[in-house]
Amino acid sequence: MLRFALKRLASMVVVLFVVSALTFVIFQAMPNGNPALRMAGRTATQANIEAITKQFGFNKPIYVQYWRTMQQIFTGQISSYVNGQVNVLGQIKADLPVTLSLVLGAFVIWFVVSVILGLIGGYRAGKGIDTAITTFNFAGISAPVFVIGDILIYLFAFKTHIFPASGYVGIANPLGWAWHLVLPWISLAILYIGIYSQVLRSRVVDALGEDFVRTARAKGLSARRIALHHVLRTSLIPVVALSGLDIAGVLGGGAILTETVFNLPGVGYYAGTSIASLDVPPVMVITIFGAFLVVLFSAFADILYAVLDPRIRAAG
Amino acid sequence: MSTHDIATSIERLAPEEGGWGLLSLEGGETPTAGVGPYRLALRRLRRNYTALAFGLLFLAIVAVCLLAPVYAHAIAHTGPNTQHLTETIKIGGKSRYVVSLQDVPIGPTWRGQFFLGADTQGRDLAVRLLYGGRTSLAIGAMAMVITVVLAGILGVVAGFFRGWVDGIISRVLDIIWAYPALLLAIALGVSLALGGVSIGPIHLHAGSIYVPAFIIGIVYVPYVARPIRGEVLGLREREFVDAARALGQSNFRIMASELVPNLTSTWVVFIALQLAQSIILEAALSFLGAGVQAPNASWGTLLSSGLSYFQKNPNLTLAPGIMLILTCLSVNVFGDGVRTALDPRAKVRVVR
Repeated sequence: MLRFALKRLASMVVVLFVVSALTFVIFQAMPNGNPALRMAGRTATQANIEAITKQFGFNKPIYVQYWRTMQQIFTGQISSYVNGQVNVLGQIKADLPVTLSLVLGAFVIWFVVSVILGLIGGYRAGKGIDTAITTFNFAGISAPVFVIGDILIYLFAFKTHIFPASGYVGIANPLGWAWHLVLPWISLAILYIGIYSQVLRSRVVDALGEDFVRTARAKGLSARRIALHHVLRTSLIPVVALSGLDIAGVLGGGAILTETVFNLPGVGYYAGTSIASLDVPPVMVITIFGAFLVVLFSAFADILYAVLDPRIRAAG
Repeated sequence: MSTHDIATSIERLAPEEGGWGLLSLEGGETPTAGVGPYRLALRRLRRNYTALAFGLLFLAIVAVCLLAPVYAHAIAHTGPNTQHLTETIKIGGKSRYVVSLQDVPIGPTWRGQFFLGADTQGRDLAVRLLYGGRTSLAIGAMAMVITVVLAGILGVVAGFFRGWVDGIISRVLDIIWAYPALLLAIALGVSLALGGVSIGPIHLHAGSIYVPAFIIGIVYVPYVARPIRGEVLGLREREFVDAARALGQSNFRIMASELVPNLTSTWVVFIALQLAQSIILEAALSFLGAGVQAPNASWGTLLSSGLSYFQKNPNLTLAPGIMLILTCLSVNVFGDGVRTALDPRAKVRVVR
């Protein structure tokens, strides 16, 4: 176990190093990439540009600049290129509640709905309702989040004024908070409902054919107990592991589309505007953060598999 | 459904030379002669009407988009970038401005000219939609080919040779995989859209539609290469590989003519899946301004430029959105149908 953890930790460090270096190189390799030009503004004098270049060390070799940026990130002293007053980590900390509200709320919806749809589809495989659910799932997988978001805004904000079209209200006002987040939650959740309930459905179909379910039936257990304790428990394993990875992905910038459509000032939105204005430091921090979450949760998923499924543990 | 499945799977086991063909479970049917797996798959696919309907829908979308110039020329009498800002058209005897004096473009007319209305520049939305579709489909197809070819080579080589080759390939894939896909694509998109890219002899100039195709193709490689590697790890231990080796076939020959054909259902799944995924990612990139650059248009750019006028002219946003959904849905459903027909028990599915 310790060996496993150490190995994972080592590979995590390597991955994070390469990801951050790659981000740095992508932005450095850009033409007109000299950030000093942009920072100095339109009416900059040559002296201005040189002063900024010197102050930020843009004339140094790329590995020196990279090292400096990483040092700043890990001491928390990193500031934006576009607005030197803004501390990047502080900004992300301020944006995180928005993204967390969006992602966790959407997760609750997609998890609950896909468990229900997956169980119904699996138990009624081949019936009309199963076909209906599968069709819905495929539609969810095929529809980009920004199209669903637009359609929802059109239907529920412009046509009927039931929900607001955009904006975020802090959780201090729980009703307003949920009110503003209902449409973003649904838009983000629909894709994952499609994927998860389809995975769960096929798992449930497999589980229903397994010996332990037949045994449970033979013991005379209630159908409800079998569904929840036997069928659902084994079927949930891949779904739980997937959840970790997907939450990590969405938190680490994956919510950028949803946040853009609904004007939510979250981490993804920050990443998007920073990339558009070629502001390297926030992009560096957010990609490192996202990659860190992905690596962390994939290790977590592996452990979870071993804990939840005795067969994997036995196989070692 | 279930008896039919058993029948077909027994058919599949039957050797080619008849004899076993008598073993048909459904009474009264004429004995089936041995049938190859592909013909069987075709037979199963022909019975799957949902998949066929969506396959036809996809073909129809492709055909209509390819015929965009014909439509523009013969029916709409305008080009994708031709502006009609100050013109009027006659509808039911009344003449109306294409773009009103309040800057509101005309809505759907449901006839030849301005079938779906105009955009704020007075351009014909239906014509732009078809031309945009050509771009979206072309980028999706190119990106899909890049992903499947690269991931196929990497996955098969890693799985076949194992050892240090696998170690290097897998580590590289792990890194791309850990990089948040959308952020990587956007970062590359912004950076390369400005400067273009040259790889060896190929030079993609800035603003070319090949740039997003290339980016999307690269970003998805690990998602395809990993499962292929996993399957090859299992396949390489099978008897037919041993037999090929005993016959003295080279490693290349074993990979190309033994392993690759045995992954057919996996290829089909990934071709369909990646086509849909690439079209979606292209739209997402263009939506965020990091994909297709003006004057080229794609469904993504149409959608995002329509958003500014969403409240007054929702058709500018909804039309490309609906085209996107229909295209991806038809690819996904047809792909899943082909996958089921080829191998009803396949591990790799359109839905992970």
